[in-house]
Amino acid sequence: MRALALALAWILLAGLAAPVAAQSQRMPVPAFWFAGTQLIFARADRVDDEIAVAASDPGFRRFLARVGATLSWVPGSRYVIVTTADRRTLTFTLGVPEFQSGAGNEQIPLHAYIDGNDVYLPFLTLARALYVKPVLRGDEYVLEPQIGALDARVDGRRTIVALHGAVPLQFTTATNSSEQLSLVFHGTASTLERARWMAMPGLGRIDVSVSGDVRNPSTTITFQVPPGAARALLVPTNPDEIVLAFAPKDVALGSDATPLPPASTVVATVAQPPAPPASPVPENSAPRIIAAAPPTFAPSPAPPVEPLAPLASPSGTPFAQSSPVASFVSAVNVENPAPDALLIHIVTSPGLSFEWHRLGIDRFYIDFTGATLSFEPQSAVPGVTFVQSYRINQLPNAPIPTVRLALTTTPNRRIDVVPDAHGLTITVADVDAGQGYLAQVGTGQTGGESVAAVPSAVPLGTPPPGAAPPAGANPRLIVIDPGHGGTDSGAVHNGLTEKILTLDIALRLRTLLEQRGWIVKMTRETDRDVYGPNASDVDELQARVDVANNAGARLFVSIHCNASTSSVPSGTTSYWYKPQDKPLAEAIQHRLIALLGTKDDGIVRERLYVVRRTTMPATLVETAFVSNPDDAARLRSPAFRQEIALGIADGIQDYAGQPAASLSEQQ
Amino acid sequence: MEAIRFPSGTHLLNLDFDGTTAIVDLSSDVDKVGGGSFDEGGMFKSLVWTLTAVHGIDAVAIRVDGSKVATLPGGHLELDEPLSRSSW
Repeated sequence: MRALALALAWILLAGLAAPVAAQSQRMPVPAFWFAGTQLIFARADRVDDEIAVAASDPGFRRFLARVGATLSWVPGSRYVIVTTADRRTLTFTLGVPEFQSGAGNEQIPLHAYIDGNDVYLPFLTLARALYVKPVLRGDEYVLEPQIGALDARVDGRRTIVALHGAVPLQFTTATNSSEQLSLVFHGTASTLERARWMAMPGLGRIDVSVSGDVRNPSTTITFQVPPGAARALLVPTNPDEIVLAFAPKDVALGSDATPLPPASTVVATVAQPPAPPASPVPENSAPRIIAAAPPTFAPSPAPPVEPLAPLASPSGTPFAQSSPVASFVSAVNVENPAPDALLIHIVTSPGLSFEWHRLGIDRFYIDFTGATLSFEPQSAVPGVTFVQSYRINQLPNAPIPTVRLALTTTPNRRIDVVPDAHGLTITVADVDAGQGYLAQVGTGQTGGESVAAVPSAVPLGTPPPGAAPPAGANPRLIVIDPGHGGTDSGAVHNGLTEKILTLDIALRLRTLLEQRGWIVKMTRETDRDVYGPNASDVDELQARVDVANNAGARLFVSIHCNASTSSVPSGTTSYWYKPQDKPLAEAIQHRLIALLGTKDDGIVRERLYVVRRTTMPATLVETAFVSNPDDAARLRSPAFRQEIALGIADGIQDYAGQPAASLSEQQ
Repeated sequence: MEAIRFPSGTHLLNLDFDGTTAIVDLSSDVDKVGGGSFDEGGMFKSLVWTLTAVHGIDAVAIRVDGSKVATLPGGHLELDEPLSRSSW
């Protein structure tokens, strides 16, 4: 080993080894199989162990439709909201490696980001939250549906158990005896715990076991009950759900209960393609309840249930207008995804008209006309300093039924209203929107899907709706690092000195970013060392990292010119290291190549100190080669350096949108 | 494309092993790299790819004149920890 390594090292140092391509490989996106069919993602990218998929990708939209989920995003907004079949709200924040689900806050390796006109989401993370388990089989992912949640609650003298699947559930009654009910769910595995003691009325313990393989799983759920306990099906509120009721012996289950089907009848909550063959059913006891027809999926009176495939038509609204049918405001959920943002999700009937008003500097209300509140009026203090209270109630004495939600905030807070799949979301951001923002009014309809058509750019000077800063960062601050400087000249070739060029480009970039509303901090503004003259090399680099980390910057961009001992290499490269750097590098590289006419050397993963040690998305842009005669001629031109600055600024805008600033601040 | 070369005069002072890590001690001529991320990245990537092709070596630790270095002078790469193929 030693002799061979020694020989190889010598050969390499003598310059005889074959060159190694400096490009990182763009990894192909693996194939996905879901319930026997292949999902093809046309706009997706593999980022380490995650798959980034475009919200508009047809394969991804088919997947969402299959699991009954809907995605809402308004261009310019920092929040991507996914509503699930079981009425959970999942929130991704652009640029923040966290994910909000009903269960709380989860750290994720890849955050949602914008590339071109589309928003990209971490698919594997989202699939798991939608009760689908991605299982890697060779080069392919099999997406295995799961029964992902079990809710049990006491309702009077009975216990109601809801099982939530990824897809419409179908089951066979395997056992239905005095002390046991056992159901076999076909085509789904389960992430439920294997045994759970319930000790609730009519229910003792639940055991869960999974069999079969990943392409054809089945789950057996066995309910141990007190002798003779009653059990029955209730009508689910969505097709991916099975709801059961249990009660002690001799307690009536209620008129909404449907008897369980006899053993070996396959029950599906909605019409399904041919069911897989039912496994042999042990008939160890006679069914106690004789079933009539299997229950079919029916909407509960309030809230109404959305159609299953709202993503099918990309431009049309997924919901039919609700004509004379009664409309409801059926839930309010408040979420605090960041210390400076409050999201109020309001679940309503589809197509409900609303009108919102801002009053004075600290009050906001929204009216849902033609709607009835399906729960008791609420008043609450949401526990953030910038929203003092909210209340929701039925307006008394209104000519048509009207539900009003009113907010009181600290003065001049930014408030945005974004319709989503289940109603709408009100975003309150703890940023000063200024006086010019006040006394506004707006109207719209709930229950729209807005991701399909995304305009190519947000007009300059228009603050994005729903903008709110990420946690723990200064969301409007970008740190620009002009490479080298002072005693470190960087590369010197063809009469060009890297440190002079990088500073020139950085100052041009600063002007552009400030015009677009960003706050810019430079690691240096003159030809100087950042740490100090003749500092150690690592101190010099760490000083640049410290500027960005200590300021809590949103992004870090280091500007360099490339060089080689050979005059042959040329072109433009954006370097990345951390997973969250890659989308930023891609966005900038994309714009630079479109503008500059230099060779596209691609984005490259490299263990660069300033990229690796910064805590925010960062990139180091090697703009062009000073050591290549053609690139050097370009770099000599101020117009070319201005184009570099413009490309980087446009790439930042593609990645991050507009800074979270109000119109009045920008003017 | 031309081969990426180490700066002329760079020679191997010593080669040692710590488990599966090769410890490569380069002469300080390597400090003259003076290039951009391209040369610096390419040269260490070549070194790591070449040495980890040898059975039993999966990482390469860099020394310059016998000392650990965090980066090269005016450099870009972080060299304080052993490099492996997964560093790229």
